[in-house]
Amino acid sequence: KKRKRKEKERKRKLRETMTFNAQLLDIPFLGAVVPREITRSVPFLKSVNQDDFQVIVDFSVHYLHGDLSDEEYEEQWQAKVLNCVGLGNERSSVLFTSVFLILRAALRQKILPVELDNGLKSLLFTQAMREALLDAYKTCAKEVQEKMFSRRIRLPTIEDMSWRTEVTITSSSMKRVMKPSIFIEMKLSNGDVRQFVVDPETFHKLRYNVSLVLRDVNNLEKAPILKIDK
Amino acid sequence: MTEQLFTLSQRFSEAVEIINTVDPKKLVRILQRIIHKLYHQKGDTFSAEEQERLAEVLGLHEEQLATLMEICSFIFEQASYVQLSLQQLKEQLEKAGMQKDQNIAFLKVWDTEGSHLIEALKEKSVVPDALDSVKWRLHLQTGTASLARLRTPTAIFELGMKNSATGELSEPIIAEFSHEELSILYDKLELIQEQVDMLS
Repeated sequence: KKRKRKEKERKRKLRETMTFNAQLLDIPFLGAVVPREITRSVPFLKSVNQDDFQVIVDFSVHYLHGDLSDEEYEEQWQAKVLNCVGLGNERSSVLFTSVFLILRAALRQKILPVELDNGLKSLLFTQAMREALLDAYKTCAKEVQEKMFSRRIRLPTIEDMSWRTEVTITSSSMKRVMKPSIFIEMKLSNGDVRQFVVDPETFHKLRYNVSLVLRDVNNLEKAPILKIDK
Repeated sequence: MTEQLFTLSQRFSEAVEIINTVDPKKLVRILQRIIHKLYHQKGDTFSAEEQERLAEVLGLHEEQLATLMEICSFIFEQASYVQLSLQQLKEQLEKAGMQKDQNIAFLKVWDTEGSHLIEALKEKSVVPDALDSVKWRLHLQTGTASLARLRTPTAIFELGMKNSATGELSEPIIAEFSHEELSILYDKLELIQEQVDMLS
């Protein structure tokens, strides 16, 4: 009986190690091949305490928000993680990297929670761990995605625009001018301040073009050209 | 306009005397160059070489040529300042002592180029840049490094600027607009238009 139990144990362990063959993993949101940074954490997941895991997850979410500088994150890593979890320096780093990359990829592609769950199952996360990660994902998704959107690369935008309409009555070259014009000052988001005049005709052109674009934008939003965001 | 426009200072009278010696045909060509310079504001009317040759051809000293050119320019400047008609210019030049043939030369040039000069001077402004052209592109952003599956319309505008004095192109304003930013811009432009309409 003892021998049978030992056999069973041995076979189970073998099955476990065999089921985890990184090359056979098919987790679409993590790319064609699951990165090594993620698979490295799998072998010792079993020995990770759930409280410690929660600390790592919380810090990953914190890091994903990206509000602090690198130095500040370093400090907080020391204070909030290394001093609190019983995993040791290397395992903490490996686990954090893995969790962070998984969450980041999930957020980038806006995947459904069930897809995340399946991926986590293939990566041998325990049920408690999966629940913790899914919870974190659902809670932080909207805010983090909005932050990433607002931080995208942009050309300079117009932060402020002020203007004056005026009529030039007379000038040094001409006694009676009586010409209307518009004086505009634009402050751009890159710090530039541009001042210029516009005569009524060119102003019509500007207005006309802006309304053209606006109409196109409205049409684009009503009848989607690309079905890509669902 | 019956009052005298051109004060007959000594310099002015001297210049008129010189003008009266110039062959009308040659005078027309000189006047055309002068009025073009006023119109474009750039560079010299005649290069140093050309001035030398011209002085020779007209049989004048270089100083006399300089006076002639200065006063001709002045005549056109004054004429555009008060927007003289042809008849008025004729009368004023007669009063100033200009002979008939030379007077006709002035009138010829004023007839063809005068209105252009007046329009150009009206447009002239002391503000450096004037909006010259409006170009744009509409994009649909589909993703960034940190976020996939976007469908964000983005408009990029290039506002071409022209230096209002020299007419040369200066650096354009290139700016990006999201849907919301476009709406805000549009509202502001409508407001400006309302105010401009009130002026007329």
